Amino acid sequence: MIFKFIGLILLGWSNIVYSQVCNLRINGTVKDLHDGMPVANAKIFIKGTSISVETDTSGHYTLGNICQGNYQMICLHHIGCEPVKKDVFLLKDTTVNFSLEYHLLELDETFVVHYVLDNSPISVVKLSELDKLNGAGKTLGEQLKRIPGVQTLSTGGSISKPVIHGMHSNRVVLMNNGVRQEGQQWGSEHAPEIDPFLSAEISVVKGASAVKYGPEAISGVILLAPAPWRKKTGWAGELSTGYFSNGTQGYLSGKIENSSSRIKGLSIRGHGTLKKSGNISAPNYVMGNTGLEEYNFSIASRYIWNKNTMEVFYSQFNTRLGIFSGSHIGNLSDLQAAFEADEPLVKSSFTYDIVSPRQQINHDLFKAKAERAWNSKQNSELTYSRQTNDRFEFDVAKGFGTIKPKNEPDFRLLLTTHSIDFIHKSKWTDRLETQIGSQFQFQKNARAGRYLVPNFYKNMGGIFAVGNYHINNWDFEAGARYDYVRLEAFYYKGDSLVSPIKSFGNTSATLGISRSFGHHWLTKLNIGTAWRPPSISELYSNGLHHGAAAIEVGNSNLRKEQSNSIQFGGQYKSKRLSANIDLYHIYFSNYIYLKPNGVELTIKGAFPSFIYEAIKANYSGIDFSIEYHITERFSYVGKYNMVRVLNLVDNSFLIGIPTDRLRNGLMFNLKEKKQSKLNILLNSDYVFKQNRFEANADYVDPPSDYLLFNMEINYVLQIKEKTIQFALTADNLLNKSYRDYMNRFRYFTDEMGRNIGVKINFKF
Amino acid sequence: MKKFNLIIFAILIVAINFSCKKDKPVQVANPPVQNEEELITTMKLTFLDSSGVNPSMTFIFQDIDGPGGNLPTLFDTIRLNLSKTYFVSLELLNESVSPAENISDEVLAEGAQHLFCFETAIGGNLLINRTDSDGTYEIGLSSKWTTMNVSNGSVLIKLKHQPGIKNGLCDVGETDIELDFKVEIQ
Repeated sequence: MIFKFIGLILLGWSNIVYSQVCNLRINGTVKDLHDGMPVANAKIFIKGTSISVETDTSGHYTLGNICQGNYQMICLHHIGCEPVKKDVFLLKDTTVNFSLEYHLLELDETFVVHYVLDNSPISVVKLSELDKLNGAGKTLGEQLKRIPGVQTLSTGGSISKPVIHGMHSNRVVLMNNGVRQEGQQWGSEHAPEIDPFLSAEISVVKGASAVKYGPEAISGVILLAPAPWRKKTGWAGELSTGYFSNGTQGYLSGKIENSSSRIKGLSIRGHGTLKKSGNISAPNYVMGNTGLEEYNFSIASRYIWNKNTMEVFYSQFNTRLGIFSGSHIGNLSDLQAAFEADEPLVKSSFTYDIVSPRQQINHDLFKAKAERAWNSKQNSELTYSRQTNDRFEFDVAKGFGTIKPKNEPDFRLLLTTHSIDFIHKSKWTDRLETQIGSQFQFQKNARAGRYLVPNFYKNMGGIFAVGNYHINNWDFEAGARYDYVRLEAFYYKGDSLVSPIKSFGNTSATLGISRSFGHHWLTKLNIGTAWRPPSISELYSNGLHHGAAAIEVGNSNLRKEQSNSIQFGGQYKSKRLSANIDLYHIYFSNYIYLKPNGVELTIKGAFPSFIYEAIKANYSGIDFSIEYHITERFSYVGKYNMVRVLNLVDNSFLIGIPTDRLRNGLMFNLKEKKQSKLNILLNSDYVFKQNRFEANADYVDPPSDYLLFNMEINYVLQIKEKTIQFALTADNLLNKSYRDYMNRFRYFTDEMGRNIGVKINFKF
Repeated sequence: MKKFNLIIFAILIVAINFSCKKDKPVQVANPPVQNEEELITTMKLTFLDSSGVNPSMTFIFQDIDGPGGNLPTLFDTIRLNLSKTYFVSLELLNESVSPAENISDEVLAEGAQHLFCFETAIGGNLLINRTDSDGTYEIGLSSKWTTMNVSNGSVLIKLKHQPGIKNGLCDVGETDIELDFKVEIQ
């Protein structure tokens, strides 16, 4: 159905011959932000095109023969420096002025260097191009780990969830291509159903400072966006392929894009990814049934006419992954036996076959977006999206399970989400911009097989307003939103079907301020409130959680979770040194967690029982990163993060909080030319032992600390407009046996051994 | 123009092919279907005095709603007479459905994958021997219990699921049942 719809639109469009206005001019001046002096020789260009110009001695520039449309203009003073970007919606001849953060100017004999401090009042960290290349082929969680303050919660080697400031699952919001990702994210073994290859920009907003994305963003938001549409007509694309030694893994991903030269304003693009891995190995043994298969694709089209833009997008994510065979246990005695054994009791060899226990997930997303620029100052966007998340989980076949045919899942959860988002952006002056918007979401969950969470309908509505104000050295951002959630669940209580309805409503607000001091410093301060409704599992889960060997009981009396936070950030940049620090403190007046609740007797033996309860809690922590250029070709990179969490009811610790992590790296730039670059990065990761954990909440104490070494070699070659990147990566270089506290399979197996990766990326 | 249409057409064909591949074996239902799970709610031990003097006795563990939810409703203490030999048959039931399902029939049908293990802790005053077989190894649905002196203790009854790995021993496989019955020999 959807394909027909897209097809009709695409075919319809391609038959319209439309001529667009293409003789527009952009001019303006570039000035120093502080003293207002004109800046000469600054380069101005439009992203995605070859249009560029340099300012004259009075700081003026003019660009001609540009078509109507949305552009990102970039101004930089010298190649190798950080650029200033501005989004422009061009309808008629326009003046765009730039103010360069020119105060960070340093001179030596050969280079004029200037740096730009990131003066957005909220803390956003983007994954660099190099990090993306080195992380290619790994899970989204593993890739995001390169950002200080982000860790992972994993289940074996193939399932990993991002953890921001010690929180995950329902406390993190993922925005995939402008749409809020909706899967069964309450489960710690349910990884985000996203193909990182589609996204050109992956960034993390830390803290509850981004009010725009809805409730639940208590610890942060992960933003994934595809590359901006090309402005140039014709074909372009990207091809990535790679191989990993551990698991004999391979991946192949391609993107292709075309801007029609016949129909102005029409573009189309598609992407596809294939990934396959066999059983991965710990240093001393093969981990049985840890293979993975993934195939994903997307198609998208955009059409611009007059002041309007229309975009349609469809993507599919399909995966099939094995769950480590040694992790399957019947009861606590089995768990004890598995833990006491040095190696998994079930021996395995390498294979690509995936058997039960396993997961199979199909996630698809359809999105249609209409955008209209009413004038150069007012712009509205309306987006409709539909997602279906279909999850199948298969247990090891029970000997007496004659009711269930062998190839049928033990349970299936089908979640369908429709959303409508509206945003109106206004630019009042050069200093003041505002956004107002509303979001509506209709969600339906249907289940079959073993009971985990009930069927439900969830309706959600919200409105928000955000304003940004800039004056001199100051930047302000203030936002507020109100949301209302209605949740109707359906389940059996004894023999009768019950359908309790719960509703939750709350306001959240944030205020952010940033100020630069002198030439090198910038500080940020953020305060905010955030909330989320209790998740479906926190309210209604009930029963034995296989694999976790625990009985988890939901609490239907839970109220909404609420937090107040304060976050302070400092940034220092100079020619040799750049450093960044974030300090945060979050107070939860109502924090939902799984409380140990004694032992319960069942026919499978006694199991520890847990119940969801609300407590008061504190999260505080530090994220720190530093880069120091010892010489021109040799630099030191360091990252550190820690988080401390306290249950304020009885001043005890909580279970499952990430440990402190310290990364030290040395970077050698062996070759740095315009056409080619070669560098080697040598890292050591030290992960501390978790000594702060809750008594009686875990079967065994946290594993010991460990030190790992990694190496990354990158070679980048630029030939005209084509770029080839090579990467050779080595994780766990010394093939060390270790266990990580944030891996749910730490009871059963060591982590992955040495893993050598070879990657090629070709942009054409 | 034609070329462009052709490309779009090709992409759509590929997309449709991919999306139609899925088969959806388990149908989700709204409102949900009741009691889809296969549970073992009950273990019933029937003791037959080998001399035929006393009437048969039954001892039961019962947890109608399975793990979680309500606590087990029955967990009998096994009371036996001293210096006797009993023939014991073990039954597993799913009493969450009506009529109750007999799970021990299924265990017997797949006897080559299952083994009952009995671990006594009663000072050597109780001996248990399995008396049935899957053809190669014992199963334990039927057993012979021999009592000696007056004493109090316990017997741990386990059902091990050992598909393809059954070797007659109790230390392999996953544990499906683990019940620690109190025992009194009078």
